[in-house]
Amino acid sequence: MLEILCVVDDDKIFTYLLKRIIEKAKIAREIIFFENGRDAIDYLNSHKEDALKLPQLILLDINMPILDGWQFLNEYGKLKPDVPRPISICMMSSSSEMEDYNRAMGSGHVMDYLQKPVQIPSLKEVTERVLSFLGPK
Amino acid sequence: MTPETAQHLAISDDRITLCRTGSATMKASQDGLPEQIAEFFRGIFSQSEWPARWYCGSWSDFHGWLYIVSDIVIWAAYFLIPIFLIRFVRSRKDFPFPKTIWLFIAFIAFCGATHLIDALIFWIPVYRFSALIRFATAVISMTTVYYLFKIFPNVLLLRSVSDLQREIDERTAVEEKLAESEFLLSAASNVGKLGGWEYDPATGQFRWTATCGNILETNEERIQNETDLLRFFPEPYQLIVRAALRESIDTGSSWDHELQITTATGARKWVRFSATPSLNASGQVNKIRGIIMDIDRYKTLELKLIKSIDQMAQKNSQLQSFTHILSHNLRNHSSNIALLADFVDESTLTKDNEELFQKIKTVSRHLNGTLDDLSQVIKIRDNHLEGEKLNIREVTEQVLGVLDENLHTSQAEIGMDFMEEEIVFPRIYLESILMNLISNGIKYKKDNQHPVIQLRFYRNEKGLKVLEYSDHGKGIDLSLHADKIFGLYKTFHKHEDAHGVGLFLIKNQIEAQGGNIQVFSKVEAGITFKITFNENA
Repeated sequence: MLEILCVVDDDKIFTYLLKRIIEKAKIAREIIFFENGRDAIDYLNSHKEDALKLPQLILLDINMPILDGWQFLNEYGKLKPDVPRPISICMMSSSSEMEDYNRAMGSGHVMDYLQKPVQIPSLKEVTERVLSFLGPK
Repeated sequence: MTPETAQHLAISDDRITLCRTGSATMKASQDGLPEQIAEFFRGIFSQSEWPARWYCGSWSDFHGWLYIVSDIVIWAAYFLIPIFLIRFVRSRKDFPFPKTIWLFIAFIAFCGATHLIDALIFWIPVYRFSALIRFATAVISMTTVYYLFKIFPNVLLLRSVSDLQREIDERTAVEEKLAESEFLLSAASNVGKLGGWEYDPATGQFRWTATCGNILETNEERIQNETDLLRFFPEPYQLIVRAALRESIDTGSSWDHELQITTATGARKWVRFSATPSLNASGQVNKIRGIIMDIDRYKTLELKLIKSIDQMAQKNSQLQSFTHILSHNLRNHSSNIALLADFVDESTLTKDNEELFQKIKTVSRHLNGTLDDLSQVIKIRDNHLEGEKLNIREVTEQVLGVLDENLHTSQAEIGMDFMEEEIVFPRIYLESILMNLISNGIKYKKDNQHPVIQLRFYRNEKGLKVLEYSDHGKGIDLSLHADKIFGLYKTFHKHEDAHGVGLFLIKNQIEAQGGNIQVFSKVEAGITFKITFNENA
């Protein structure tokens, strides 16, 4: 089970559903929701010293106002060296375009790309990978 | 008429009457030659040594006067002929061989003179003078012969009057033809609005054909130098023309520009203005020639067309992004519905509501399915995939592998007759086509029969590769459904798996790659699809 999971998505219905899925599948202890990339980056920036406040996994949507998924990745790249523990990012989108998949995986910060509607098994699989990556506490 | 010095002595028994003078007969040749010559010239006009011819031999009146008159007439003729010749030579300065004519004049005149003297000798025996004149005549005659010999080949070259006339006629005919073809040419260039021009860099002067005047709507003769010409070109084009002319003069390069002019009446026209310099022997530009053509009609159309195409391209890309965004957003909503539906605890619903809810879930499923199809079609329409070299047998066997279970269950028979081996085509499309057609073949087999499918691959008469699918299944009534068979969501049989998307998709895939698909079928007599590939598209 993850300590902190971040969901960055502007679709309220989808985030509501995600919350229920995550709680049902007991994937994370704490879930923080952000409606756009700007809010998410601001949070990361203000807590970058504090390892306990930082998420292990971020589920990132592509289409959002103010700062979209790609722009978030850009900003995250600048902040990555300052972060004590690596954060895994998994992109989510209803887009099935190969270009989006390639762009995500090519950014260097994304570990996987899930297509909406997101199924529980896929989420679980991603979580397992993150946990094994982080190693035993 | 008897001179004292002459005596007519008749020797009585001599048949020939001798002429004798008073002086003793002395052979003049007894003196040496130089003495003879001197003697000759000293007494050139002397008459004393010979008798007048009347008294030399027996001359009857008739005989004598016949001789005299003939000589006089000859002299007259030989006197008049040169007069004519002199008139010819003097009046027609272009009379050929004048020198020879003068020689003729001379020798005829001298010849006449000898005859005149011969006649006079009947009274005045100036034999020495006569000999001298004869000698001169001989010299002139031989000179004439010599000249004639020299000019003979040239005389042969002289054309006869009929020759010359013929040549004139021929030339007149050619001139007429030339005039005709010039007229045709100028008429043609007028109709085609094509004018020619010439520029002499040495004088800076232009020359124009009449059509140029029509194009520029002015008298073309008034456009003499570069300044005159540039007045017809509005600002940006003036620079182009000036620079182009300069470059031609300096480097001898040709140019061909499409420019706008303002005619003398103020109208704006598009013209094609081109130039080709010609170089002299030392490689310098001595003349520049070119054309000026009214292309206003074509250029205006071209510009309109380009504008249309640009507008269409813009609209198209707008449409594309619109459909992308729309389908993307729609999919978000439809996937949310599906997820929400999953979370509902159906056990708490009343029977009615549960039934209704089931229907909602079905609708949500269909909604997602439709959107999936839509996004597939959009993807095909947008993209032209790169073809790869595929082995038809290998791809077919792969597809058959995927369908293995279905084939087994239905006991389908698949025949493969591949006369060609390779095709350049995107792999996923070819798989999709084969998959669709074969699974349709299984789906729409005749009841109580197993599917019999034949696949053929060959080159048609036009050299294009053709994939043919035929089966002995239920077939389709083309008289009813011909135009709908490839339509989206058009199904023809009651079959729970009849989705209506497969044929639509493969038609789009085939056409996106430049090919086409035809269908032949009769109810209960199977169906044949012929796919013609275009590897060059």
